[in-house]
Amino acid sequence: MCSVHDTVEFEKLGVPSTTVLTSAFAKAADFQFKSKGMPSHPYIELPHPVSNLSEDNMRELTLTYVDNLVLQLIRP
Amino acid sequence: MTQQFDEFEFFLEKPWSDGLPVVTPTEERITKMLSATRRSPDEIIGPIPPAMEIATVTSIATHAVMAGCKPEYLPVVLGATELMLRPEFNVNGVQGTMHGVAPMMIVNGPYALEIGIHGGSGCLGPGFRANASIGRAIRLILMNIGSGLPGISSMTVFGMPSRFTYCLTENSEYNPWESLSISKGYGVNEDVLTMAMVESPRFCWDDVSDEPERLIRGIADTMTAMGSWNMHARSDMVVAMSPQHAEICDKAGWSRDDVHARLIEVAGRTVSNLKLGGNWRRERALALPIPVDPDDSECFVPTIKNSVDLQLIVAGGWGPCTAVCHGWSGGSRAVHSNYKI
Repeated sequence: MCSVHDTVEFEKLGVPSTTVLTSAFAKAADFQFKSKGMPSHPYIELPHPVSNLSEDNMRELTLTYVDNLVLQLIRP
Repeated sequence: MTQQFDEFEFFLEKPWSDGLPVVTPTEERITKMLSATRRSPDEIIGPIPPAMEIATVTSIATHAVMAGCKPEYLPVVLGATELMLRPEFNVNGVQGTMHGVAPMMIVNGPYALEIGIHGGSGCLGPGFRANASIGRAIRLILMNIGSGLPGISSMTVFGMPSRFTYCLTENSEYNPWESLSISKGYGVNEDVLTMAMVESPRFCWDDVSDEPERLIRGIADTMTAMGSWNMHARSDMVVAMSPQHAEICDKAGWSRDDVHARLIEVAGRTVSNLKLGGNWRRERALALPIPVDPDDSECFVPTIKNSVDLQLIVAGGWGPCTAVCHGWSGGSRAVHSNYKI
């Protein structure tokens, strides 16, 4: 869960950040955000798995999350 | 009649164990354990991910007690805990991964032999207290201080028997070559730990070869499974040759470096072969730190992408077997260091 770690470190530096993960890692992300002092930090949860999607299908899936991702980055 | 307090059941009912009974860490036992080090009990070793709880000399000693260590094992446990917290080892990533790798500890030098770390017959266990309890202490530290708990913070699919313990030394009695630590530039009398995030071993059983070239071909094949991350990312690998296999090479005049180089040269698959199954993806091939042309069906993809990633040791008992331990995908580099006695 390096991405959670990186998100927290960026946030501490004042850089808006979020984590993109698949549902299989949601519990681990909840645990890590909590243990790193940002328990309610949002993240983008994709369905699992994604590693066997074609590039086109991955792009299509990603686009459905872009609005939410932007909202997470501009949240107060 | 009052029910008697059962200390073993008490610990087994808490998430403070690996599923096996632990030695109750009484103050007396912890004090005795701490007597094996000159380091201050309050000295901070570092934060153990993912919980980032701070490990101290005392909390490490407590887990060494729980794991069944003798006090003289403590310097190795302390050294290993410090070593595995190096950023390039990426314990944080491994604690959460779906994969199941574990930190294999290869302990070289005179102290390992003095305290009975075993490198001969059956060295990966079960049966040897130092190997079993030192590795177990590391796992308990990862679970209890780091909260690397399966299904909660660890997403490992299967776990792995080697997550109970993964500690050995080389077979110094029958190793025809220099040890792993000497190959890294340390002296003969230096006490050195090497740690690599690897899977449980898969064996290359070869009781036919009587010369190195054929032997190496078989071992190299064991290094190249399609589902192995070593084929699709830069990843560490431990190859533990039995003394019998090492002797075949030594008798033919091959040095440790010769075997190391030949394994790197031979182990691999062509692009067309890799495309048949496993983890092949075009993007992964293009992301490798070596040039791979995904459109060239005959392009050879070596298992080992950087020679420092292959940890070649001689261990185990007499017999025609080499153990090959594949690595992880998420970016973990093997680490090595002296440790304080």
